[in-house]
Amino acid sequence: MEKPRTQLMLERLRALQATAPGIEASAVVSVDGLIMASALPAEVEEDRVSAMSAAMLSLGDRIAGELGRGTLQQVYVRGENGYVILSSIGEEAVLTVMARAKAKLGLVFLDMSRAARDLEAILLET
Amino acid sequence: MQTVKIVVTGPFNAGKTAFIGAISEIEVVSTERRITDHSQSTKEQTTVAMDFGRITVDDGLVLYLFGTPGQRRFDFMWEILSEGMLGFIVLVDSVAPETFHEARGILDLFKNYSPACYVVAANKQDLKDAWPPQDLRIALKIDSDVKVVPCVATDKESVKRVLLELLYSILETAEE
Repeated sequence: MEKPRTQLMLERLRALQATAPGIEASAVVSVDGLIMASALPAEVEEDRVSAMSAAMLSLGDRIAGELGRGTLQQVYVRGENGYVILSSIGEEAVLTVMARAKAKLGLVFLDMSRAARDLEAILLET
Repeated sequence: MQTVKIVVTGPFNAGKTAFIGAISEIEVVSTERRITDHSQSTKEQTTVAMDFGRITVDDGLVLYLFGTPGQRRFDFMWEILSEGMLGFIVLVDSVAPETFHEARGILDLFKNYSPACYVVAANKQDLKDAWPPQDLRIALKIDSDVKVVPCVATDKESVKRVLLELLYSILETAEE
């Protein structure tokens, strides 16, 4: 059962990258920081990305809660060369996306939320 | 008012989150998440970023306690959290000798980050099979000038003793 689920998620990640040209890489990570599916470039260390995603999302969640912003929807990091955006997939997983500096953020957000919804369904069904 | 940053570290399931939870006077900022890989552990939750707690020692001294994640894939947090610390505590699960090697590795890494004072806390001394502190000292090859303090992380008085021992060590080093 493990394999088809990973495969389904991977296909959804690839579809995401195909529709949103600004997105360079993406991954699905468990909330405790383990990789579940990834479409990351070879030079990126999966284990580090997944652990960092989980840590960042959990902190974002605490900050949003403590400062009265409600349930966390997204964590957004902007660097000179682009963005890293994290959003939760249900209670159990995180969608991590890396986007180019010139990416159209509105589109990226929209495509990400659609992908997150689909990925949540995949996680629930399988 | 002086504030002192202390880091609580140690291997997975050593009791770091419980340690801070037992003593903190504020609600602990914790980042525990459900464990998804149950082949590794029977524990329900694990820290993925940090714990933060605070304890006022007296009018002039407040301790900020930062707990680290225990799993090595979060080691980037170890370095971040160690910045500016005045001392650190290595918690060791005294009933899990298979984690002693990892505890020693974490200890060496933290010594490498900063020349800060440290003590080793031999946690879970309330359990039947707990290794006594003096045996832990030998197993982990702890220097003779470093304290190995018995500890029960769920007991406030016990946690207080570990923190005081660390503070004494910090003061002694400062006087030298």
